[in-house]
Amino acid sequence: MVLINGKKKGIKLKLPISNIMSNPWFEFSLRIILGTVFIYSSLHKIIHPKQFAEIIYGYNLFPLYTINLMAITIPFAELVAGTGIICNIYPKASSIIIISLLTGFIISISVNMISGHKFDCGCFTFGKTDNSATWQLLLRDILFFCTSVFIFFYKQNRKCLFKKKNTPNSS
Amino acid sequence: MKSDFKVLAKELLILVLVILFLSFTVNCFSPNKITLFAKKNDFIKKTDVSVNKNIQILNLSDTKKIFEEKSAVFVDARPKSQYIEGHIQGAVNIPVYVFYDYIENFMLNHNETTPVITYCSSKNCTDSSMLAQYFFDMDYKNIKIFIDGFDKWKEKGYKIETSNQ
Repeated sequence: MVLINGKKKGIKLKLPISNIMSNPWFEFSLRIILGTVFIYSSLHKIIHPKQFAEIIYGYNLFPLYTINLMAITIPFAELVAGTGIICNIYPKASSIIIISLLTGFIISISVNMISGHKFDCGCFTFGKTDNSATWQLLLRDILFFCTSVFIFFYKQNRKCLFKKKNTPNSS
Repeated sequence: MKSDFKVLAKELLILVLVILFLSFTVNCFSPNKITLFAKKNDFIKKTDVSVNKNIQILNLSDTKKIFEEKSAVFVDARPKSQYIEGHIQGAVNIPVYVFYDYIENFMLNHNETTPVITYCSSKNCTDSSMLAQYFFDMDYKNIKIFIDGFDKWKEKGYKIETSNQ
């Protein structure tokens, strides 16, 4: 704080990184990337729910009666939340769903990684049981997690895919 | 602040309802639909022989005997990339998730009476038991599962080979 004409004035330091972070186009590109990843990853799970259920079963973490329910609902949670953040429809609520999903994925991968259990990630395709890349999966999910947290807390006006004007931040 | 939270909760509720509606509606009309609650037999546990009593479980020494006698075809259920890196000598690769892409070619060379031994990486993986069940459904009745998997086989120093394909 400094005194100018006897009044207290706040000084805001504008670092290049904060300029980038507050840029609506930066936030918009993150939403497009994250949304596309989630929509893409949901499609094969929606088409092959049985195989996705087997993948969830392979994680050895969930009770049997919840496996099919998860295999039915998780792909649509990914699809709806992905569409939501791309199209700026309830972006905060969509990012909460994505954060919840990613938290689940991170915990599941970590537990399997610690126990040394080989599993099929089932993230984008089925049939890749490779433990050597588990830390990469974890790193990728943590990166997506940070991105979705950033999208959730973004305070500026958000760019919208279908409107030319900036739309006010919903919720 | 409180109203922000209310709006957010309302939006979240709407999205959750949309997700639930879409999930169960699409699953209801999908040709690949699954039951809401899984049953034990939906997922074959390779250590649970009672799932299909016609499929025999083999340990390492029994498998080694059959391998030396050359009295069965070994089928690797792991993904192609892992098969290329190394597999039991003479084993054929049929990755379980693309079974139907490979089985036609397999059937041209091996009829239904051929003894088949499936395996995957270790005791923890379920691919070999899933593959065994797929073979059984295709009328191959002489099916066995090598329960210890490739990792144990390799650890013991038994014959393995790599593939360029």
